[in-house]
This record gives sequence, C-alpha cells and structure tokens, in this order.
Amino acid sequence: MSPFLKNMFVIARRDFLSIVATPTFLLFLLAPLFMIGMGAIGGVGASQLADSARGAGRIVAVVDERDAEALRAADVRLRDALPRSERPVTLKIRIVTAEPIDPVAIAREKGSDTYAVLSGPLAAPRIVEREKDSSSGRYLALLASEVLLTRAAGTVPPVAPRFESLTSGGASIAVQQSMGFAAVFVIFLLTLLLAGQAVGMLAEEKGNKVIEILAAAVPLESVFLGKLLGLLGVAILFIAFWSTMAIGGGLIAATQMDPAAIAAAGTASKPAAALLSAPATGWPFFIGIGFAYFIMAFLLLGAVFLGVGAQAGTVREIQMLSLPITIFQVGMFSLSAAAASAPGSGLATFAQIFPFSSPLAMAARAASDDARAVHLLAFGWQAIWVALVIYLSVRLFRAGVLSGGSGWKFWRRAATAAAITAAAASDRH
Amino acid sequence: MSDFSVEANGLTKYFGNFKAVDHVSLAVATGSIYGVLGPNGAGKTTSLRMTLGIIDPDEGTSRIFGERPQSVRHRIGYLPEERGLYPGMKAREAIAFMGALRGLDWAEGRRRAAGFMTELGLERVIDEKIRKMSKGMAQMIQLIGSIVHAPDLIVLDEPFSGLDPVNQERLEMLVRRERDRGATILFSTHVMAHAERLCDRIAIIARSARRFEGTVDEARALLPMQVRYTPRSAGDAAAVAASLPAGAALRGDAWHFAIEDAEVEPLLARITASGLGVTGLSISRPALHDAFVHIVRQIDASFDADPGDDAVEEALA
Repeated sequence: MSPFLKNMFVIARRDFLSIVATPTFLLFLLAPLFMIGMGAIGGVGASQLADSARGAGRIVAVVDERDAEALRAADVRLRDALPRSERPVTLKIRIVTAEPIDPVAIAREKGSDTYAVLSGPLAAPRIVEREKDSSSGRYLALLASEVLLTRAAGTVPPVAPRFESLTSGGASIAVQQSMGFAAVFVIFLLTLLLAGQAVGMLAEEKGNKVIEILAAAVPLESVFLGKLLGLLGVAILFIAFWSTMAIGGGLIAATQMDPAAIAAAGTASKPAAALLSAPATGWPFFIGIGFAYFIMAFLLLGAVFLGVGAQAGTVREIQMLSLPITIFQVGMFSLSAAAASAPGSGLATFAQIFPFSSPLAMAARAASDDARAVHLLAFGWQAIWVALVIYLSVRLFRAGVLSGGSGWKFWRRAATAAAITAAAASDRH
Repeated sequence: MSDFSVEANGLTKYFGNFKAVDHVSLAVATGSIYGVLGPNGAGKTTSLRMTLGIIDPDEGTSRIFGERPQSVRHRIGYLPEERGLYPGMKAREAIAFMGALRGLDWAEGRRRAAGFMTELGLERVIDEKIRKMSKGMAQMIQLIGSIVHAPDLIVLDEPFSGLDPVNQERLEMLVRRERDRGATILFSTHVMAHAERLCDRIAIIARSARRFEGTVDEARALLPMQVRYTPRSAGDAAAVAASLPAGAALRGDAWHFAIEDAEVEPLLARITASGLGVTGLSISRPALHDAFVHIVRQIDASFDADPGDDAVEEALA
C-alpha cells in the first residue's frame, strides 16, 4: 500500500473510532426515527412537486381535423363541469397526417410530461397511459364519448377504449419515477445526516492543535480524504445497521402473514405493484449504482463541507456556516427531485451534469432509463470534481489556517510580492 | 551523502508586509544536537516550520537528508510549539497514532509507547485519557509520540516550556539518548541553560534574522573573561586598582572586571608582582545566557538607532 493511502487509512481509522466508540453514536443510529418525520415532510413536498408537475404536463389526442374541434369543445365543457382539483392536465391535439403516428412514441417524448395519448377512431380509441388505470386515460375516453354523444344527438353505443399502459422493462414509468425520487430522497437524507459532522471535523483539529502534527506528518490531501473515508465508514455502518434491521423486521413480518394474502395483495394493491415493479436498469444494478452514487454524493458534498468548515475556528463559526450549507443541500435535492419527475427534460440534463446534483439526479435516471454506460461517464465526471474540490479545499486550508501556501490569496500574493520587491530595492541601495 | 541532515538556505517569510523570517540559513550536522535560540517572536517557530515544509517559504530552500522535507516525513519526529492531542484518546493510543502517521505499525507503536512511558515513570497513565492528564504529562506523551517511530531527525519547538524541573531533566536525558542512537536533534528554546548543556552548535535568531551561528563556547567567547579577585589585604583601594585593568570595580571585598583571553597570564604576573596577595580569584567565561543577552541587546540597539526595515518596526510595535 502506498504511503499516501496508508496515511489516509490511519486518519480514517482514528476518525471512525472517535465517532463510533462513543455513547452519542447510539443517538446517531436512532436518527432514522427523526428521518421518518422528515420523510413525511419530504413526502408532502414531493406530492406538491408532483401536483405542480402535473399542471405542466399534458394529455394528447391524435385525431383527424373533423374530430379536433369537437374534442376541444368537449374538453372545455367537461373541464368546466369538473371541480378545479379534479381537472386534468392540458389537452394537446395532434392532427393525423399521412405519416403513421405512434402514440407510445408520443408518450415517451423527452422534455414533456405526457400522462395519456388517445389515437384511432373515437368509437374504439387506443389509449396509452403512463400509469395503469389513470384518471387521465379515463378522461380521454370520456372525451371521446362526449364527442360521439354530441354528434349523435341521442343515444350512441358506449365507447370501447383499448387501454394500454406504458412500460419500461415491464414496469410503469410512473412507478419508476417514484423509485428515482426515492433514491434522490434517501441519498439526500444520508448526506444531510453526515454533512454537519464533516463541517465540524477539521475545526476539532484546529481547536485541539493537532492540525500541525497532522500537517507535518502527512500530506493534507490524505488528511482530507482520510476524514471523508472515516465518515463514509460511519455512514456504511449506519446503512448496514438499518438494512439489517429492515430485512430482519421484514422476515419476521413475513413469517406472520398468510402467503395467499401476500399473493393477493401483489395483484391488487398499488404499493405492492410498485414493489413488484423493477427500475429500468434492474434491481441489482439500481441498488448497486444507488449506493455508488451515495458514495459520490457524500465525497463531493463532504469535500465541500470539509473545505468550508476548515475555515471555521469556533463553534459559532461552524453554526454560521451550517445554514448556507444546509440551504445548498436542499437546493441540490430540489433540483434533483424536479429532474426525477421530468426525465429527459432540459432540467434533468442540467441536474445530471451539475456536479453537486449529479449523483442524485443520475441515481434517479437509473430508475427510469435503461442506459448503463452513461453512469460510467457520470462517475468519471464526479470523480474529477471530488479531486478538484479536495485540491481547492487543501489550498484554501493551507493558506488560511497554516498561513502558508504563498500565492493562493491574490491580495496576499500582491502584498507579499510588493514587500519582497521593496526589500530587494532597499538591499540594492 | 551530505554530512548535514538539515540544510536550509535563505529562508524568508512575509506575513503581509511583515518580514517574519529574513534569509535564515541552518546547517545541522548529522548526529548532532542543534539549538535555535532567540527571544519571543524572533522567528524561530516560523523558521522551523519552513525547514520542515509545513509552510512554504517566500524565498529560500530547505533540504532534509538532501531531499524535499515532504519526501522524508516518515524520518522526522516533530513536536510543535502549540501542543495538541485528541483529548478523548488514551495515552498509549495517542502515541501509537502519532507513530502510525509516520508509518509505524499500530501494534508496534503501542508496544513502544508502553516501553517509553514506563521508562519515564508514566506507566500509571498508560490507559488514561489525555483529557484527564496534567498539561506537563500530556506534553510528555506528545514528546514520546514524536519519537516513537525512531526518527532520524527530531525537531522540537520549545520542548521544555511547561515542564517541571524533574520532567525537564527527563527530557534532557531523552534527547541525549536519541542523539546516542544516531538521531539528529534540532530544537528551539529561549532557556539558555538547556542549550548550554545539550547543544553541539547553536544559532541565535533575533529580529527575524540569524545573528550568530557556532558552538556554545564560540558564543560565550564573544564576551571577555569575567574576573573576581579578592586581595589578601584590602589596603589602599587606589593602589589595588592601579594594578588591575581599567574598569575594575570593588563590590564588597572583591574586585570585578573583564579581560580578554590574552590578558590572563599578564594579569596573574601583575598581581604576583604587586604583592597584594590572593584570597580568592576566579576567572571564568561568561554563561551562554550572558552572550545571548549581549547579542540580542546589540541587535535591538542597532535597530533602535537605525530602524531600517519599517515593516519590521511596525509589526514589532
């Protein structure tokens, strides 16, 4: 093992034990109980987000010109009749052309949130839904029925729609987006839990004056990475503990239930259906990549927080730094959550590229997009940023705390250069 | 290979406009004990930090064992001026941790920690947490931590400050033993007695620059010999004074005056020839303390007369 890695592990070991081998770690382990509370708040937020996204979404009817006007008129009438909260998203009408139109392709169009697409004759339309048994699909069927009813001015045979739900790898797109959102939320909560500790970590060394010993003994880069690694170890222990609890609890619960009831629930209930669905990349890949993105998110944000926190010398300064850091984290979460609800949109692409939201947004993407190679690219991109942030943090730390690293702060560099020039001139005289 | 473990040339450091260190050079022979002496704020700590590569100099270079300091960290033991340990760590673990930072195996570090602590009479606190220890005890733990990996170069910044006389004695013993093991010792202090007893060579830093470099004896030789002479009979003071060098002063029944090395034998001849007799006579070199004070005062006086570097004056004000 190289000396750099060895040093890194020495620091990581010390930090890991200093956190884990304390009674307060038990409180930290119980944090998920608080997380459940936060989860409830997050759920409300997600619901609001979904509602607002729905407002920006659409349903599409692909019809000939003769039906278009009738559909628009029927849409206006029906909307007026419905309570505001139950009104569907905007109706977009596309006119049938000589080119064949694929309703599934329309439903999958990037950059738009399409809930259902109607095509074919109004008496027997084909309705492609993003989510099975959706209100949007039923509304399109109702519209078709309303147009036919108006034209016939009497009784008409009931519309016979042929519903089909949009799937990706056999799972509903909506369920996959929910999985994406869940991944974003879990990663966000875990990094939120650890960020506070990262901010205060170097302040401890500064407070008890150990920093000079560390700086003299090992490269500061390995101090930073070691600290991140130690904290990551704590996080993994934490995840392992609660995963074990969850799996154990699940197994115990399973032994108490009737297998027939479980099977029935699997076909009937929506949550059970979600459980039986798979993310676009498949469960093993999704879980693996989700964990990997958690590590990248932690390293990226942790490096930023460590670097910023390293500038703090007192508890008060740490507290002052915590607020903007938390706001920054929530901002990244909001961006990624919005990206999760609009896959393929410009916003989603931005969130996937922006380094600090990239791990969260890419985890969400793994739920709804089956492309796998792009994740390798994302890892490389994020790793570059981890290295860059640590490099800058170390420079900042060295310049600010150890009063070294001449040439970092431009004003200091200018002052020093002026002083050196003045001294040289005085020597010449 | 160079005979010098440490070769620092022209180290200069500015903090803003203040020149904290001004072209300081140090050459520490391998296997020697070298003292960096100077009043508070002279620039000793900054010089040591630059020498070790903890902070970058604005000018000058530092080589340790002929290489960049960062390349030979594992061969260096360092006790910083600002003592620091993790309060929640047990003594043995703290020592092993500091050894591990320099590449020592944890188990071996623990074993050596126990050995050092027993030797220094600290065995009762081996598994005590640092926060429960006295300041002096914690300082000894940190000192052990800085040498537990048997470094080839040991740099101690003000190692004696904060220690009681017994622990100061133990530290001196430890320093000598490490030197006997083959290590090179570089330490800073403003307590001259330790330097006088320990150092093979010293550098005196004052007002940011190195003002003297040499052996302790060479520093003491900067001042004339001090003579204390008590004649057998008090007699006529004026007659006695006439036999002694100019500036001789009578305090009690003894005459005090200074002479150069070459004047010792002529003085003895004069006293013998004068018939004043001798009840007491001591001729001794002044202590390092006196030489140090003499050098620092000279520098201060020259700065007071011609401040020269405004930035230094401003900062010191």
